[in-house]
Amino acid sequence: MSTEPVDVLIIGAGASGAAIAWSLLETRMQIVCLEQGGHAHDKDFPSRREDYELARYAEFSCDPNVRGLPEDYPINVDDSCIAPVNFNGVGGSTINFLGHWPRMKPSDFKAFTLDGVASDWPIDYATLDPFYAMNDRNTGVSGLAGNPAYPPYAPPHPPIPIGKLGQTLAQGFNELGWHWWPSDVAILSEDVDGRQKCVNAGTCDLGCAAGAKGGSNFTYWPVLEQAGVELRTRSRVREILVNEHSGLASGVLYHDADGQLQRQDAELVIVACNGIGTPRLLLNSTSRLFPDGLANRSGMVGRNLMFHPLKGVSGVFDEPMEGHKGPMACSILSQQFYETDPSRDFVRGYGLHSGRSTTPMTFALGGYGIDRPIPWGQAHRQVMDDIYPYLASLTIVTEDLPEEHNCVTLDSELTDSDGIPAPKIHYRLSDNTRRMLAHGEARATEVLLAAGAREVLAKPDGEVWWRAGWHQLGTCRMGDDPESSVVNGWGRSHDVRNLFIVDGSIFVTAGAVNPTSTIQALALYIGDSIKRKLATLFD
Amino acid sequence: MGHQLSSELVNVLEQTLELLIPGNVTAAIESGNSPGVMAFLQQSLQDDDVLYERIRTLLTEVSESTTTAASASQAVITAERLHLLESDHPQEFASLLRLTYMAYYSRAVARRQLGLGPWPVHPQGYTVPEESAGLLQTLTAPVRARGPFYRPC
Repeated sequence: MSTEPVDVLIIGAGASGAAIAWSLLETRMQIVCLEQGGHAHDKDFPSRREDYELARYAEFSCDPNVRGLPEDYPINVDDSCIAPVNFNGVGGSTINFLGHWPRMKPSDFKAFTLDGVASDWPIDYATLDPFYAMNDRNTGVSGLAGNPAYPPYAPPHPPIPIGKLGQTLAQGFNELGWHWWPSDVAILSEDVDGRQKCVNAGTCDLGCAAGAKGGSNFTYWPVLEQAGVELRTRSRVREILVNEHSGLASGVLYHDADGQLQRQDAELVIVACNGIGTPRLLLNSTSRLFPDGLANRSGMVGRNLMFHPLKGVSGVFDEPMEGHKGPMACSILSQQFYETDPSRDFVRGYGLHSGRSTTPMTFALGGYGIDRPIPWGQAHRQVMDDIYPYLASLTIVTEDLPEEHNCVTLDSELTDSDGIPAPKIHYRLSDNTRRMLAHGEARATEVLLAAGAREVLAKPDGEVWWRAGWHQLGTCRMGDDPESSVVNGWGRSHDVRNLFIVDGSIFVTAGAVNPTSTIQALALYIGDSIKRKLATLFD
Repeated sequence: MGHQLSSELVNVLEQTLELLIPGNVTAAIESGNSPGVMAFLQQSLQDDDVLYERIRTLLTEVSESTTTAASASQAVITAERLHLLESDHPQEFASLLRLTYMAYYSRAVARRQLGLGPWPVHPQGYTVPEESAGLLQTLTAPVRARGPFYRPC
């Protein structure tokens, strides 16, 4: 076992691990990244196969419990109404995310001050703004400048087409005088640096074989590997080690591709495993100094798990909406109901995201995230012929507030293929979220009818989407108070001065937008902070 | 050699597929009992003990209840019979339905019949015309007219 220390050890090659590695490149420090999965080669992506839809229910399922690949870890979801979804490999969940790229809003960082709920972030929108812009350039973000729902900024590339579906819905929003805007997307609208612009295949979740979607497998990692960052794939970290004298992280134990235990020492350890993987790793890293898990003196590691609970409402129109053409989720976004309004029976708010329709198999099996088949028999024929082609949908994406009982713990029996204890999710919807979802369903129905829908369809049972756990946030939150947070305002552990966390787990609140843009902006901000404080980094 | 359905059960399955996904003659859309679907199902059952047992149990029950009045080769299965089966064996029926939808819609011809491209979606994809700057300007005009729309803080 080689224990020769490296300067920086990053755990996880997904969105945040890639971004901070890029930020630290200029320091010339020796950077090693350990990733439990392998390289996902675009030539192997399922969308090149004739039966590509089948991959959604097998090796390219968003649910690790369905994929069950050696690089995946199982997640016990028996005590949750939402299942976390992810992808393990170089690029992480940016391999199968949908590329929707809204920023968080200024008010998202001030939920306590503005609305008396949750906590304020120790940083604000203005602090992250330059890092959002930097990351948008690195990723290749397309969008339309001038969105009045945000302080001024301009995406670097023109918007992708919103299509017939987006135009139809936009007219509905205009009819009601409600906000909407073409979505910011991490999807290229023009060819850039060897990456092809979007071909509107509609298979963003199956990897993007065109390279148009800005997964870090296409954006950061080629640059990083070219620049000498050592990426060790099929390397799953078992625990982070601590020097009992100094109290600093000394390195990690990890399983290599053969399952053999290896050790890698490091001066600086950065955890980038997101909102489930990061607390799992810290809780598995126990020692005399940290019997309840590394960096967990506050007891906050694993707590305050936030998702974005979702429900969908669909309108059936008179003309085909051609929803199978174009990126799956990214057409237009309304933030009309994003901010707190005292006249409503809930605090904070939600977004209305247009969803293009899915491909026939996915629709027949219940739609993306639901997994409950549509009827069989004559009703099936009627749904596929008279409804499916004419659908345009809105997804209600709600802000989830932090609650300590929603958490990640370690399962007492379940393990991954290396025998490392697996995470267990404990999660239930709050009454605030339920009221928000009900409000959102009613507003989505209004706008679909205003847009000309002849019929509106919604799930009648009050359930949220089962596989809606894309956004795993808050389980190692940042804050100024070591009693109530895990890392400080620039990502450093309160308890371990050379341990940083840079992923979605450090979010204080969730906002009501897809978080990857913010996750990477945060990672770049933390990287910048490390560079500025290098001389006193461990003080 | 993995699991294989008997010819009697294959006959039952063919009729069941016809009922699960009826065709549309006017639109020239095939039913579930189409080339490729049965082969997919049989392939899926071959090495999956649990799935095979579920489907075999289901088909056997249909077969036994219908052959009381007719010989196996003449047995006629009705939608009413399948509805009963669905309520009596929800888990097994759900497995069959899911597998049938996967088999049916994974074929290129099914996509074509529904107006989608039969090709693997990469590299060809689909053409979606870009909105002109003028159209976007017009569409977003009412939104821009409202001015800044975020909470200052």
